[in-house]
Amino acid sequence: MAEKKRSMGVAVMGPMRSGTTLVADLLTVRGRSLVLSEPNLLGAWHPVVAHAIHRLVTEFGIEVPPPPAEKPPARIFNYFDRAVLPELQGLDFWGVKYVDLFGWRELFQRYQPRKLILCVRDLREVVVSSIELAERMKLGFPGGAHMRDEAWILTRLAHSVHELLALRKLPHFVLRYEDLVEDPKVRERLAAYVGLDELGTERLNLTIERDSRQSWESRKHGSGVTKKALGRFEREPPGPVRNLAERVWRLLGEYSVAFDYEVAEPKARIQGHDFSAPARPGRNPVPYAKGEEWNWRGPKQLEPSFARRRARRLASMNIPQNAVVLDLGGGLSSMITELPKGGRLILADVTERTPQTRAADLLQGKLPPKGRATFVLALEILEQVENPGRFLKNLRGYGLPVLLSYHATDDTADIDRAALGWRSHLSRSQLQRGLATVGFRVTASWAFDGRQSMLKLRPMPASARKAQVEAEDAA
Amino acid sequence: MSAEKGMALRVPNRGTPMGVAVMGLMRTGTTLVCDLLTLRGRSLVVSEPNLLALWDGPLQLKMNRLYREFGLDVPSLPPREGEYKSNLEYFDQVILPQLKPLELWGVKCVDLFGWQRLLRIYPPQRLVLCVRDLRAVTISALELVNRMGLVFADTKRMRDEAWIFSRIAFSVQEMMAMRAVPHMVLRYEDLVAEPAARDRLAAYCGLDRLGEERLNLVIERETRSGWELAKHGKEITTKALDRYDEEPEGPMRTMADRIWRMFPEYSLAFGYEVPAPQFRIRRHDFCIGPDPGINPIKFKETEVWNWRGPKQLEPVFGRRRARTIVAVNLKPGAVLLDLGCGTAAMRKMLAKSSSHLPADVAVRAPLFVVSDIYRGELPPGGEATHVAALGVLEYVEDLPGFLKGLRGYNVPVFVSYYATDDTPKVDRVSLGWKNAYRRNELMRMFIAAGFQPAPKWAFDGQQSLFRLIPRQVMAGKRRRPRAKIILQGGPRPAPGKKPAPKPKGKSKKELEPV
Repeated sequence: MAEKKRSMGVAVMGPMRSGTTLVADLLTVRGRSLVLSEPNLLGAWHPVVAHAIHRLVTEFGIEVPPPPAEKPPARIFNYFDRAVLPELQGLDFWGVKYVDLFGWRELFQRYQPRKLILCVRDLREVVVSSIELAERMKLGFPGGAHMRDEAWILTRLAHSVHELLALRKLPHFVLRYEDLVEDPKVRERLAAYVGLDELGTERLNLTIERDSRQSWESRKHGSGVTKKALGRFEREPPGPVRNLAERVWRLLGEYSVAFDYEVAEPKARIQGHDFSAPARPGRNPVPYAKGEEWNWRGPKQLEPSFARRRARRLASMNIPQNAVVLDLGGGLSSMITELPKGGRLILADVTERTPQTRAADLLQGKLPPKGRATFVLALEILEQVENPGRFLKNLRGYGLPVLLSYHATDDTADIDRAALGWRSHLSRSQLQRGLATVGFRVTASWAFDGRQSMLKLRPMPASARKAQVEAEDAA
Repeated sequence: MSAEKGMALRVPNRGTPMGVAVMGLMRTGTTLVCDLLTLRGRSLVVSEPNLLALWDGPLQLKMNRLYREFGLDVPSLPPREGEYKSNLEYFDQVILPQLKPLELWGVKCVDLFGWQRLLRIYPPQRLVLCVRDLRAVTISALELVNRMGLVFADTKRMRDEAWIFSRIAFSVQEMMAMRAVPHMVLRYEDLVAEPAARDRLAAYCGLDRLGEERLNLVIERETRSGWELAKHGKEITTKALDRYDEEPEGPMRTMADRIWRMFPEYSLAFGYEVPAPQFRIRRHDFCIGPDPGINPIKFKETEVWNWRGPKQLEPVFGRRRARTIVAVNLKPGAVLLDLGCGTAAMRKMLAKSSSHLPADVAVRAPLFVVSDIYRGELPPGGEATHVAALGVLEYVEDLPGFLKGLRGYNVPVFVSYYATDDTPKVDRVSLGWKNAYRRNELMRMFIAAGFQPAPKWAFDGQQSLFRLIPRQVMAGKRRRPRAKIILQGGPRPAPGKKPAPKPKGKSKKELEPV
């Protein structure tokens, strides 16, 4: 097909949770324009994606041949160029939206966009929203090939931010989510930018999404544009997710400056990090492919979300089969994909992120009821607890075996713990004493990843506990 | 660093690694760093050798002083004009062979034009980027320009507020691009306040201690070295910190603030406070683009004495334009009291027989008269035959009171103003302006203060210039106030009579165009 015919009207690019799907739908007007959400055109053939394209185009009202069931082509664009693109040429314009920004240069070489929209949002809000999306959609991959945990969210956002900064070199229109949902004039400007006299009112791109996403978002916003998703970060209580959100924001200050968001105070900014902004946009310091590896160790610097990933991995090898695991770590229930056979997961968090989450004030040491749990996980949470004594006491109160991870001060002497949002600062011996005092028998794997320790805790019967305390006193 | 292209230079030592390159904005402590890295017999960092420029005799005379002071074997006088085509040739052939045996040699530049070329000729093994809060840089640069009298009498160049603005903006862009080269960031604030920062500098450059002499400073003109040595002595002091905090409100503080608001990327990159989103200046010709390697500011344009600057309204450029007109409207022999002048640039724009009395809210040089101008406290007029308040009125809260004060001088006054009629789309608050008057309101105020105003409306598109002649108090019949006449659309013709035709040609009171 001639190069000219392959040019597209608009490309909508942004980090996840910055309103790109909404923009794709606003720019989709039956009979006039269609923006396809995440068609992954340059990707290897994937029947699910090809069928999603077919479904969207058909829903839109254009009849196109379905993806081939036999002898599929090597790449998605082989099908798209042959079966779909000719039908789109009759429209005023067509376009794509991507949150996976890997390979946008190649995409734009093949389908040169006449207009480019960069969707942005305060990074703290993006993180909190991404956690909710991943949690609601259970975006974990049980095969072990991929991982959708907090570390992946950090990596993906850092990668996307650098790509967005590079995309700024092209003529573009910046669309801030905050303005998009709040200011009707911004939507008018958006329509004017792409040459539409009115924006679309249907949610075609949302309806082709999985029900786990579509029904939740539709329930929240209805079919209109609402401000309900603003203030996500403000509403997020202190805890692992808020910490992660702040960390991403403090790490990627160039994004906040480029797109007119608030910037952290100089002392709070994270400098000299592998994921920090490079001097020159276009050289992405975050390796995309490694970010997709389920067990990538991440940057050289201590990154709590990667430590959590490692702790989960080690924990998965120490959980008995058929266990009902109460996970006190909050954030994502990624552990679910790592449980041994027959295992079940109950996630506790500082807020009720999904209907299944047990909410409790974990940082104050208040733990949720154990319910039917037979095993407890407390990974990368004790560091954030203000009153570790109360936390450990209540942990003992479950009367269940526990796996606890902790970064002892002995192993993190060179780390600014406060900058990581950590509030408890215990040495190995202090931790051991505390655990013995509340009645745990401890088997420790100190600094198993260089800094982080994993402790297997077994509740001691009261008599054994008394004997141990006496022995310790004598010693 | 004014690079000369297309000239075959003899540079046999091209490619010799340079131990250290010290690069930074002006007033970020680069000369101090030079001296700290200079140890007799061990290391020499040369301040501003301007290697890429054509042969510069006066500069070489200064450099020769440094080389001899340091102990290099150079004749007491540098070569004569014509022996070497460029500064680089002389440096490469005569100086560099003597620097090579040292533990460390290097150069420092605040004129960052052509740094890529310089670093290609002598690839640096280490690069020190000197930075400082942009607001403090601006206020300090104003003082330097004033104290050194950095204005050029031939008016080919101009060292006024607009030049400072442009030069800082240009350098910020280059510094952002330089971050792509492996480097050490040295913040002036840390350098002078923390001995540990100095230890880090020494360690980075491979020295076991730092120099204690001020060789690079003493070769500077007395107007600079005398002042700086008097301030700091031979010590490293924190006396130059808080320059911005100490600067009173007014156009210069606003300018410093404006530069800081324009480059949040710099502040972010080098660990300074970043303005809140609503205060950041966007969509400005000087802003940093997505590719820091592409400087939107043309260095050569910034050096042109009457460059008009960015497309956007930038008060310092407006002030430059107003000065130019006032200068040609003053007769030789005039004594001008220049109120609120951030720089004494006007001095060199006046006729030789004229005098210039600079006045501002801070002592920027010994000749400056200081008073709280923007609160209406005007300095004594002395011998002044004329007064100028250019780029000043917008920053005054009580303008009628200020004009009354001006009237007290009882001499002709030049004032400039951006009337709201001519600046409907301008965000006056963002420019730090304290008032907003229409043309007719202004005229009414001038008349009420006792002036007869001759306006040149929007002479540069937005800014108006006024010559205010003090009106003598009439003892006889009081005339109808002119202000009313203007407000009511001019004098009404008598019934049955046509209004008198306006006189053709230019009024004597009208300002001369440039």
